[in-house]
Amino acid sequence: MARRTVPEGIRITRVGVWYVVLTLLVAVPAANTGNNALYLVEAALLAVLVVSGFLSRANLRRLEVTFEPPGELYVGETATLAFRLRTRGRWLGRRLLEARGPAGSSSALVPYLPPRRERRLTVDLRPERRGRLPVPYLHLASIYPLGLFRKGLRYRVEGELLVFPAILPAGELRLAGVAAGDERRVRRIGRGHELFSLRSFRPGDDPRGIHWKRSARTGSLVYLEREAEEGRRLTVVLDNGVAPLAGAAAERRFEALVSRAASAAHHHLERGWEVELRLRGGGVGFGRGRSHRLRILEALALVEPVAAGEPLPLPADPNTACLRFALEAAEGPLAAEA
Amino acid sequence: MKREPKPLGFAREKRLLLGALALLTPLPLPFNEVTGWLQLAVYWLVVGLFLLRAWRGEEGWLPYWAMNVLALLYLPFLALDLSVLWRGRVLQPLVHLVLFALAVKLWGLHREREKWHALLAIFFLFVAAMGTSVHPSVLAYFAAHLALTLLLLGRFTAAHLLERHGRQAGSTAVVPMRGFVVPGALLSLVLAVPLFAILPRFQSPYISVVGPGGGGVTTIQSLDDRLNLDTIGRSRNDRAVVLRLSYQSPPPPAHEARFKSAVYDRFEDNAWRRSRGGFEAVRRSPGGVFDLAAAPVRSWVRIWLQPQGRGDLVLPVDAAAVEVAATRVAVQASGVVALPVTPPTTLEYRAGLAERSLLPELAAGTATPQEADGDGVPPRIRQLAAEVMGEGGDAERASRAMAHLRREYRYTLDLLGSSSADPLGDFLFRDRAGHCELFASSLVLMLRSQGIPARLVTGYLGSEYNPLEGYHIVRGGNAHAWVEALLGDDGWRILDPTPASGLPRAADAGLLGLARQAWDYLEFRWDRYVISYGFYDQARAFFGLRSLWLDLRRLLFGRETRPEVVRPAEPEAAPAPEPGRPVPGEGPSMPAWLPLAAVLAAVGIWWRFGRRELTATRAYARLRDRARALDPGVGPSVAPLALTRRLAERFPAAVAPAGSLVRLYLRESFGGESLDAAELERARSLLRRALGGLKPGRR
Repeated sequence: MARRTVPEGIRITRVGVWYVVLTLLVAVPAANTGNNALYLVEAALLAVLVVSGFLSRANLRRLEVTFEPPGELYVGETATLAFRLRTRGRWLGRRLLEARGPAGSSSALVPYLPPRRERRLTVDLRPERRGRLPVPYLHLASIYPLGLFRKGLRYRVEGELLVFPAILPAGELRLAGVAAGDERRVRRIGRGHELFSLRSFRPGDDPRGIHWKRSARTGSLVYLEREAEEGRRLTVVLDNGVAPLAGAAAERRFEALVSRAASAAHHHLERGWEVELRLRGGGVGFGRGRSHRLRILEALALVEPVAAGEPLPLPADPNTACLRFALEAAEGPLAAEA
Repeated sequence: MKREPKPLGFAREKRLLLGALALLTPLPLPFNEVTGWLQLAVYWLVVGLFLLRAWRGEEGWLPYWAMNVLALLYLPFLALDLSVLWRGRVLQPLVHLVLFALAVKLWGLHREREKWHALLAIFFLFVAAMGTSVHPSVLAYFAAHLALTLLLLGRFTAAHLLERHGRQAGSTAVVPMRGFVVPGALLSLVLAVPLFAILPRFQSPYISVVGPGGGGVTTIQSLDDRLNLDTIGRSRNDRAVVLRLSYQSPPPPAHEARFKSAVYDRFEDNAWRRSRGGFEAVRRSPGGVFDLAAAPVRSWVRIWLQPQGRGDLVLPVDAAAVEVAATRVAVQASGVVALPVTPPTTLEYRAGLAERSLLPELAAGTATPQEADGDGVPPRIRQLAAEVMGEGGDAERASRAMAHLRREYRYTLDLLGSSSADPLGDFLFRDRAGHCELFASSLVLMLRSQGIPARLVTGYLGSEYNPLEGYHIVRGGNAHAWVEALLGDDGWRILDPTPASGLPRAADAGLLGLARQAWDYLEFRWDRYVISYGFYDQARAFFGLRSLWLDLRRLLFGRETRPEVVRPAEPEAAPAPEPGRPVPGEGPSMPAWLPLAAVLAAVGIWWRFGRRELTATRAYARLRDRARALDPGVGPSVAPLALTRRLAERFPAAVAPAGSLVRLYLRESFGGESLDAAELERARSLLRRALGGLKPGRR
């Protein structure tokens, strides 16, 4: 919850310019003639200006802002950032608040926020770059009450978002062999986690593989055979040893490479594969599930080009499927080396 | 590429608001004779129909070509207005043009920007209406206009933002304005008062004197150079205020206060006329006082005279001196005092009062030929006078004539307006009843026929006390006529032959009287502090505030700080004002407690709304600034922990609280935490202790 504010200044609107001009125009005949009725008009015009400033200030202050981060954020995908606004004052409702999140986000309007009430407002954001995206402030602005001035105020929310690389549709990847051959793979008995078959217990079988529930139901020992894991394992290797990148085109190609690596990992994980990510100077081990997918996406969101001096870690098991994403391999159509 | 003009969004609401404001704005104009009621009625009809159509939400408004045709059709009317109807004037034709243009523009509102054109026309009409208004009722118009304008601008703002965020139609009622319009208008009005007071004045206050209507300065019924015998009788029910008086000493009984305005010496064609000659300039004393008679002044009365279209001063009959902001004052031997110019607005002056009536005898023992002329008196009046007055001294004979009229004649207003060829004859010999002018005129002619110089005097008799501010009011209904006669060695004396029943009545009692007094109070204040407010009032208010400040300092610090002020000597030693009764115009022009209350209110508002909330960051900044002031080694970009180390070297007493404060600061500023109320209170306490430890003596 944020209360601390940073003023963003005040800017006169076109209506405000006209208002000031008219105020000056009334001042001329008033001073020239000494007509006190015109002085009264002039005083009222100035008073309205002051009251407008006072109300405008009060309208923006004494709010509590809470930032609600979105779930996942991908490059090029529009996401919704939510903030909660709550008035602290007892008497003053807030009107016509325009809110804007980080740079590039849309703005939202809060037409009216009654005293001591809370309202959730959302702004849309379409990130252009992966990586960390700070959301330090919620920018509030208002031309309330009369549209003469636009006053702004920042509420510090100290938020930070992680923008994942863009995920390409599976059809666009054209991964040679691995992803497309997902359904054609050979199932073998092994030491994985997935069920392969149930059969009668034979001497020599590992007693830890006895399915006790089924054995109790059938009256004879039933043995649970598991599928070999290596049949659904994929190592995504991203060669990030490309620094320094020469120019914007190379940077774009590298970003596309990261995006393809993320897409490959994402789609395989969606299909139940175990995926590991290998990078120069880091990586994520085998795993599956949502949290593992987020770990891989996080690593790919933060990956930076490094110098090629460090060796590229390759998978230890040559039987494990591997996708290698390298800049030289991406010169042609989007493809990966299987 | 030229951008397509934006069509009018929220059109129904905007049309209704503009129409309502356009309906209200020109209301004071016909009162101020800037436009006629007929023109305004036509305008209101057009705007009313527009409002009706807008209320129904109908579409299909005036096309642009039709607006152009109408503008062409108006050109002959404009020429007629300029050259014939208001020849030589610009304001009235211009206002008519703007009224026409506004009405047409309202009917032809299509685009967003056109609403501002209409609003500009409304603003012009508003300034014209205000600039020509001087009546206090314009304040109600002003407040209503202000509230409606705030509502309109607020709604326009809401519509603008709602449109920007995707709502193109409907109502802006999602943004309630109830909590803004009324407080905003009230706040603006309250704030406008001091702004009005301090805006610089370069010219004397300008008063637009127009018409007898509610919009202009109300000029009182003047007692003119020619007075027919019904003039005063007709004004008996006139409630208009003529004079306001504030006495320094206890005032005379209300029914005895007599104010002389004009003297008439020739009776011709059943009407009195006054000779304008015979004025002499009065010498002005170094104190700025014009001495009318060589008599000591016992007290002063401050007088505010409503404009009467003449330069004559209305003075109490016992006035011996007058103090008025004028370079010259002329006085007639008959005691009429006049200014060289006609004041356009309320005239404020002071009169020094003597022990007895002095104005009648400024030219002691002498009479003009007109005043002594008894030849023109009709024979039967002469005969009546001879029978009634008999033999004896002048004073005795005059008393008999006055007593005869009082005893044998009845006071009535029923015979007003009977256009007789011989009204005095009818009064004395047929009706034996009439009003004060007939009594006084008869006595003058009777006295003159018997060789006693006499003249008719008009003025005001009696007053009513206004308890709201403690001043006396003389109204038009107090107008009265009486006689001044030269009674031998006694000189000029006042004789009032009107029976007691004919003297001006006392003020209305009860609620109606109170309401009149309240309205008069408002009118007086408005006239004095709004319409006539000028540079000297600003100076007086400034010195009043300064004096108050010096008194306050003396009260608080017990020192005599008030410099000795050299004041001009008072014209005469005057007794102190009556305790407990405020004297308008004396001392500061506002209650002494008002500035103090304003300061306290400002402090309260600041304390409630304007005080910056202390955070750990602000507390740390204050600590750092203080340390920098004491220790040049503390740089502007010193890190928090480095500051703590530096304090440990230089100010050990401050280290413990400063360290705790820095920890809170780091949590708040770098950790992004929001400290709760208890922690903020702790930060405040730590800051206090740390600042205490920074004192040089506490190393």
